[in-house]
Amino acid sequence: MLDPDARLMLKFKEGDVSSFEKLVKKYKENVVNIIYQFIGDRDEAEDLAIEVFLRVYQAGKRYKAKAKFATWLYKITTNLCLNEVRERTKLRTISLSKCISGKEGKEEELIDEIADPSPLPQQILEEKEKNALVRKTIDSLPAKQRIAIILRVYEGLSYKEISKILGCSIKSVERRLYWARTNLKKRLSPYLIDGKYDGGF
Amino acid sequence: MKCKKIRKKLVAYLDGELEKKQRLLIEEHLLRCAECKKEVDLLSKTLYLLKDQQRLKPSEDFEANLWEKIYSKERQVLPHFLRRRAYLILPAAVAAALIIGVVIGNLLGKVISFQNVNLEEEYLSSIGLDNFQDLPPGSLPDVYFSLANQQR
Repeated sequence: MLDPDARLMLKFKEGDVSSFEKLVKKYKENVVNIIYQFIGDRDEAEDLAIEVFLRVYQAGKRYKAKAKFATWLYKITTNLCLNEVRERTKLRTISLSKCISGKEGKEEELIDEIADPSPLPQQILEEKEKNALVRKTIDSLPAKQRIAIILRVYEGLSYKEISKILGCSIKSVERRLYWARTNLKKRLSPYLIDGKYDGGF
Repeated sequence: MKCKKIRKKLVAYLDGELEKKQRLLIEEHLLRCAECKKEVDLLSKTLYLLKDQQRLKPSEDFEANLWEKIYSKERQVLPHFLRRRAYLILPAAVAAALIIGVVIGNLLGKVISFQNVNLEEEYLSSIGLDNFQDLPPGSLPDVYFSLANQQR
């Protein structure tokens, strides 16, 4: 049976713009938050979310209700996030190589950037800083692990839904989430033991 | 099951993604293995810490910005003089197609009817109606009567 959101999208395909507006209203917060958790910048998250809905609008005429609308929408969102990361990595590589070839005695800057001089988790205990630490820890995950954990934790999607969005097997999703949570646990463990989350499972 | 195998399944266990049989095996193991129990507690707390992260509210002008972007993209694909009148393009195209259809149909009709007239004339001349006269020209009775008339 067709899900109600896919039905709205089909109505939009037939020219009903108000259906598109309903979908934007319903999903804008989810899309903004997936992107925000992925790239960690509020303004950029909103700009990219607008780009996601622009693509939905442009794809309206070709839309075919093959899967749940949310799966299709999140697929567009994650593809955009992964592309953004690729672009950033490219830019970062270029700026690093420029710095190396610059010969202006900026070696210290370069070493600082690579060594990441941010304080260790043990030193960040203030509540205000806790979010920044979690944010930084999420950012440190490889892109594929990061997107999988964001879809699982913040959107509450099942492994099957995540596998459809990321175009991989359920086993692969399980592996990515295992490594993501293990990595996060390692980095956050000092806080987990001493912090307010020691109530137990 | 050994601890190493159990630990690889703990995340899926916490996410409720295991089958009943595997779930029961893990629960049984956790009751008697303090190390694995500690591991599952830490993983669970990590999850709470992540969930505690601030959730953003999109700005109030999100939709307005989206529509502005949609319109600017649509304007980019249209020639300058049409950009302000994009809503007229479809009706204008339909009207133009109708007019062209009528004109072409009319011309085709004329050509076909002209060809029909020519064919009719050709057909009539080919069958030669003179052949159906009482005394066809050049025939034996025609020669006989013309000679008889001359003798009178």
